[in-house]
Amino acid sequence: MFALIVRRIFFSIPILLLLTLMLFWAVKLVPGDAAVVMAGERATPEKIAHIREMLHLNDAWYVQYGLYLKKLVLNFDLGTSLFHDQPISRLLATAVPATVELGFFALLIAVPVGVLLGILGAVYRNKFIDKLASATAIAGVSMPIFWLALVLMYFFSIKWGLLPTSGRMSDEILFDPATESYTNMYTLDGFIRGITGKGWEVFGYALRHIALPALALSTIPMAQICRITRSAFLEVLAQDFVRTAHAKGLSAKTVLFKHVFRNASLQIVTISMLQAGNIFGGAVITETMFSWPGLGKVLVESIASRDFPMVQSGTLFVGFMFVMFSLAADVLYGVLDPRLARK
Amino acid sequence: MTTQQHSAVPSCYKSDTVAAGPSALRIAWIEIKCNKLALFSFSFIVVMILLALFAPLLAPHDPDALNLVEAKLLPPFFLEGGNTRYLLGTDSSGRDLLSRILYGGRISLFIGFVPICLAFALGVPFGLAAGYFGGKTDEILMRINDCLLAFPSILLALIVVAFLGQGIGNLMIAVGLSYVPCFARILRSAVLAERNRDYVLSARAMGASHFRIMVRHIFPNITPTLIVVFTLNFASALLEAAGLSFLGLGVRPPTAEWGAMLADGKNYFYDGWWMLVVPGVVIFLVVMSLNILGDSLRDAWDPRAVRK
Repeated sequence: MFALIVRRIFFSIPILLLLTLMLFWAVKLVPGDAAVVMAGERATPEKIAHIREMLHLNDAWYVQYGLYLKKLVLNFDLGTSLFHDQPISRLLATAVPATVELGFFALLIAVPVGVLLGILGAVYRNKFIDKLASATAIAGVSMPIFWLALVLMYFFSIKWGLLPTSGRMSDEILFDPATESYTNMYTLDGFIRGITGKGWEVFGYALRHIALPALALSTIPMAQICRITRSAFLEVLAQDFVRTAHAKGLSAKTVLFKHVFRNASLQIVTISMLQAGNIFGGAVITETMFSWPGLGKVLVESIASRDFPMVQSGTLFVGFMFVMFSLAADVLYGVLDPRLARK
Repeated sequence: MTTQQHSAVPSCYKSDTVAAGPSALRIAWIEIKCNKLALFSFSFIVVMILLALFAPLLAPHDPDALNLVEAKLLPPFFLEGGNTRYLLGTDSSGRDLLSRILYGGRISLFIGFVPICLAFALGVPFGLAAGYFGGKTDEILMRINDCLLAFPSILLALIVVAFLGQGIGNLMIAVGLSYVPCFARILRSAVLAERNRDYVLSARAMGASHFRIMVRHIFPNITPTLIVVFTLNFASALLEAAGLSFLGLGVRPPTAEWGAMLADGKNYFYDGWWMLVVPGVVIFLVVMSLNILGDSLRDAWDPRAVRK
């Protein structure tokens, strides 16, 4: 087990290195003189010279890459945002918790609903409920998220006035010093406040704000998880050991949840991890639609303002998260299927 | 996959073209004909493509003609206040929505289709080489691929737009590049399943070159897989391109494009909801039809589905 984890971590190093190299070259590909592009057309020569110096543009590319890597690995220095004039790590420290919070709630909807629909579809194959689950899944992958977001906003916020359309928190709470955020995840803050006896209303507000974006973000992962769960279950249900289990008199419930689920879980874990990686990699459209100040929104904004160091570091972070999720998936395989770990 | 040869006689490459049993296309057609939903989806896509192609002949109005005085925010004809001159109503600048949908289809379908062709052209040789040669080639190519896969595709597209600049051309390059790793990976596994089959071995024994074996022997046998992948990815590329345009990173207003039309309409919740509903429903139906079609083609060609 331990060997598996070590081996997998070892394997992800070249991927991460390639990733940094690709992003390093992406900045080089910016048409024209990178320093001029970043500083803007009307920048003073001093500012351009400063940027050239800052990016080591006067050195050979491998020197530049080496310096970039050195800063990244040894000092965890992600650079400075040109637009905000702040360390990028500080900007990410507020954006990433927002995305993680949103992604967590989206998965909290997507995984149980998707798995349940998939199991129902497989067990009642070709019955009405299977068709309903398949229809939901196919509608889920085909729905433009930006459109769904608008429809949800129209009904839940404008027509029925139940939930807020945008943002993470109501202004009166956000600017009240008594409710200062500990973690930058407002639902977690609210939960901690509730548990420690300071009242649950912050938690309630945070939940109301996150409900619509989480719902919109959950549709595609939910649909994908549903499809994969259904086909994984169908595959396992057709195997001999399932018939044996039924034949030796086990109840249908035991067979389904102890035998079939365990064997189908590998594929379910794979797709869930893949979808999680996608979500945490910046729910670009959802965050933009609901003005959710997460990683995706920050990236779109930095693209619009041509803040290349920010784009570079933000995407590097996204790639890193994705690699970590696939690593986690591989380790989970080992837990779920000990045969794989032994190999 | 249905064109695989299972004859015991080691045959020359010519026999690859002699179909044993019904051809892959015929099987697909039978599947589509029997499945009403698939048939409907297939027809819907064909109709939408035709409508887009013949938009200049069919559109009742100029899609970019402003009419702020007479026709601002008219609802569709079946609602109160609408009229039959503007069947689907007009937008906030008085432009006819039906004409914009028709003309918009030319761009929306195009910016979904071209990237997939690009991804196909780049991903197919990539996956073919990785799967066929195996070993070190495979290892290196797949590590590069893993790196590209490490980005959610919309983000990869965003990066390309960020570094190359905005506009339709870059949008298509962006979306196309983001689908290369997906094509490469699926193709590689399809090739892996084929490369040790008898027909490949016999072709090699006959002295065929690697290139010839890949292009003339393996490629035709994995075409069904490719068509399925092509259809399903066309659907998501369409969504992605529309999404980028919606974010203002692709097609710019006033050009008629479905995603950009939605972006236009998002501020007219109250007094012009049809500006949102019309393009939204069109995108949804086209993408869903492509997904249904892709799924039923897979059902038709998947040997495992046949066995069940």
